[in-house]
Amino acid sequence: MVRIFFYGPLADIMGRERAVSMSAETTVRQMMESLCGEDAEFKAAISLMRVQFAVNDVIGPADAPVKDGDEIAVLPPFSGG
Amino acid sequence: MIILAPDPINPAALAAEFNKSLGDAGAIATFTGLVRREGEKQVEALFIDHAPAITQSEISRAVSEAQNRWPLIRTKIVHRIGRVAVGDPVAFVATSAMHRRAAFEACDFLMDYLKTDAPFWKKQIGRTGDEWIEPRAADYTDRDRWR
Repeated sequence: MVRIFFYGPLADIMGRERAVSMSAETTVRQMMESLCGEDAEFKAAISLMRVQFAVNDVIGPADAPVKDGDEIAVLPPFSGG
Repeated sequence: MIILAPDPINPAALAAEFNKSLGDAGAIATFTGLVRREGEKQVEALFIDHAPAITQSEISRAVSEAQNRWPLIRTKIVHRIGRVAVGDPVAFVATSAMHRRAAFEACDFLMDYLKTDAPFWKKQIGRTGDEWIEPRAADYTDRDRWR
C-alpha cells in the first residue's frame, strides 16, 4: 500500500489522503498518470500547475521510484504564508 | 527554533522568551505579520495548509542559509496553520546578532522566504467565497533582492 497525500487546492479535490495498493515497484509519474486516468478533475487541476512531488518527505523528481509502504506528497506551487 | 502550530501567536510573549537568552547579542530584530483585511474581497480569515515534515525541513534550510549569510546568534520562527482570523498574527520571526544590520537583514530575508517559497498553501476565506491565493508580485520582488 502506498499513501498519497494532497495539499492546498489539490486537497479540496482529492481529500487529504488516498491509499493505493501496488503489486510492483513503480514511479511517482506512473502513479500520477494512473490517478489522472481515474479522476478527470485531478487531471485537469495538475495540468494547470507546476506540481512537485516528495517521496517519504523528500522532494524529488517525478521519475523517483516508489515501493510498497512509501508515502507520496503531491505539492501544488507554494504560496507562502 | 521553528514552530508550526494552530495556536494563537502572542508576539509580546514570544519576544520576551526570545530575549531571555541574549548571549553576546547586541541586536534583536523581530517581525510580526498579521492577516490583512482585504476590503474588496471582504476577507474574514486565512486558511493555511502545510505538509508538516516537508514544511519544517524546507524552513530549516532557509534558516541555515540565513545563518550562513549573517553571523546570527539565534533565530526563531513561529507560523500559524489552519484558520487565522483577520487582524490576528500569522507569523513571528526573531533574529539576534552582535550587530543590528545582521539581525535586521536576516529577519527580512526569512520573512521574504516565508512569504514566497515556504511550503504553505493559503486560502482566503471571505463573505464572497473562498479562494486559494499566490504571492503578490511585490512579494517576489522582495524575495529577489536576496539573489
